[in-house]
Amino acid sequence: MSSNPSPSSTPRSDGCTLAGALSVASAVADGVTIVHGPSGCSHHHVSLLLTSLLDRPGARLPVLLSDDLGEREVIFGGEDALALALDEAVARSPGSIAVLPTCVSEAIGDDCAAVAERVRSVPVVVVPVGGFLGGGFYEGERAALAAYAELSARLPAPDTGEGPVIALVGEKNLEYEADCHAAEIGRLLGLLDLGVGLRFVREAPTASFGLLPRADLLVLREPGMGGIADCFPVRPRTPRIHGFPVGLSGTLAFLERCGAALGRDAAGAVEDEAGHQEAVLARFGGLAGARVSLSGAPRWAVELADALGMVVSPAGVPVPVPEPAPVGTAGVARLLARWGRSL
Amino acid sequence: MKQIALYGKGGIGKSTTSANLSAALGESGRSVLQVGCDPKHDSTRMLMHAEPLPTVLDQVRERGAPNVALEDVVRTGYAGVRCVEAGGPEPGIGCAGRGIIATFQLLEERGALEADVIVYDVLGDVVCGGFAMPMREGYAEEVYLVSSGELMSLYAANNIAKAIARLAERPRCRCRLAGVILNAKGMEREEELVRAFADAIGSRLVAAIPRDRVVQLAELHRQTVIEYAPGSAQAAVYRRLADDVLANTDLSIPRPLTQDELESLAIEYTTF
Ligand SMILES: Nc1ncnc2c1ncn2[C@@H]1O[C@H](COP(=O)(O)OP(=O)(O)OP(=O)(O)O)[C@@H](O)[C@H]1O
Ligand code: SF4
Ligand SMILES: [Mg+2]
Repeated sequence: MSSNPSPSSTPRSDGCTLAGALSVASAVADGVTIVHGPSGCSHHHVSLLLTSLLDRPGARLPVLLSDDLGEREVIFGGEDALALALDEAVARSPGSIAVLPTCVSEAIGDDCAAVAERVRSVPVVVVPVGGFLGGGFYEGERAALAAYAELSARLPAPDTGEGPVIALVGEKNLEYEADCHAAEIGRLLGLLDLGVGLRFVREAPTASFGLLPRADLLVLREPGMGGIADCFPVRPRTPRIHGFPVGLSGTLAFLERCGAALGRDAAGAVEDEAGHQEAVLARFGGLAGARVSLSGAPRWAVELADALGMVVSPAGVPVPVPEPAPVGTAGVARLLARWGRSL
Repeated sequence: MKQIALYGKGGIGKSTTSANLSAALGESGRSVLQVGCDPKHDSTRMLMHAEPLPTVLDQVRERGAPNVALEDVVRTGYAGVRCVEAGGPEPGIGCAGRGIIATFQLLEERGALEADVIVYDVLGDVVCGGFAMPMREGYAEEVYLVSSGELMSLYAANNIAKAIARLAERPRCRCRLAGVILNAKGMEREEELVRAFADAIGSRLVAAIPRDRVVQLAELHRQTVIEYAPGSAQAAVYRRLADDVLANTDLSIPRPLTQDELESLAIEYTTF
């Protein structure tokens, strides 16, 4: 792990499944999230959420409720406490309500789905997580995406007008620069006269999820998300791109794949973007000839160093290669600025 | 002060035996506290003449633990035996084991766990850490396994012996096996079998309680046998058990049997 204390190298995905599920549920713009467990569970994760919101001044504060299970509920069951919290959530007239169980409620076997079924006026998504039971952050995140995907099949499709629907799937909501990544993808799609139709799930209202079953292209945040996309209620053979674009050639390939998936000629867009990349590299021309160490770094990083005329050698100065990688050409530019600072 | 606990398979006769034991001890002038550690809260029913006893956990639920006083949950029954029921959640919801832990904490904090003899009547099997808590935390210092000669009953007793053996490895754990009580089903060679089982696990048979209709008759009259039929042979058996329990200093760390050993033992004493 990097010892660089910059915000982008602070780990934010080491929590339990609740933390992962919460990172998704709290990003539903008109949602209310109930953490079905001791108030301490919410406390830890809310601190983390708030920390990540500091990167986005003026961002919406998510509505989180804890039903505050205590010893009494552990002994007698927490379903009544959940029912009360659901009443409170419904009273706020949200677009949807997420119920996130915790280790405590799972250990005593509360039937959250049965309690949630009693709510008719607002869609309720019970995310099947159980704190540290059944995995960690990533499993929680994926369980939440799958649960919202299931909900999407029950929602009416919003009117989108002309053009294909492109859905970004599984943006990492606690990731520093998450919005920069989405903006970069928006810019790249713009080169093809396309745009992002659905952010699943980041700052999107519940009704917009109705677009998911109609999606023409799924752009997955990372390759490992193919598994959950398999259970999305999309049309058979809906094309997918497995991972946001990374590195110089990776970004150009992304444009080609999008074009191919949607039957558009991407040659012009690729040419424009290659020109843009040249301009970016030219801005960092001063890095040419610098000796850098990139041991164990992925191919895109080595490609980038080569393109700049840097000398890659174990004796060189180590430069940061963040994981997850910066997205698109804009990500490359930000990374080169960091490299410049460390040389 | 003696703190004893009766563990054994569900329905084997723990509550009946506990209540008669407590009644006999009470009659002999000892101060006795019987604690029912079972959400069914039927341990002290005969001692209380079926008068409903507010359970500790119901009181905790209604008023919150800080507001529960001993008078709310401890009642005096037959022969001066003080009775407490832990209670617990409805079947299939919540965590009864945690309820037992909360009950002990409350009784301990209120200074209720004082008597010449405390009898803990613990639910069927040790289903989770919560039900092992009386053993683990030094409340149940002397554990009696109640069993019949039926294989499943011995199997449950053997499992509890395993729990005791495991707990006894902990340096500060005072829990020991005090003996096996046969509550007979009336099978052939039943006493021989249960005695052999007790020996095999490194303990001994402390009492053989026959199956007797008077137990049900007493139950129908909402009384212990000690009270309902004081002159009966069955009452005499329970009194003898009380004397033996008081005198018993023969505590051991059991050597539980393997499944195969247990089955072979049962086969040895079965007439086909
Ligand atoms: N020695 C006996 N002779 C005849 N009947 C008996 C005898 N011992 C117990 N019983 C009967 O067996 C039934 C079950 O006994 P009891 O309730 O004491 O068992 P238990 O082990 O406490 O059960 P649980 O695990 O459900 O708490 C009772 O109806 C009781 O009357
Ligand atoms: S691990 Fe369990 S107790 Fe801890 S925060 Fe997660 S859900 Fe809550
Ligand atoms: Mg009982």
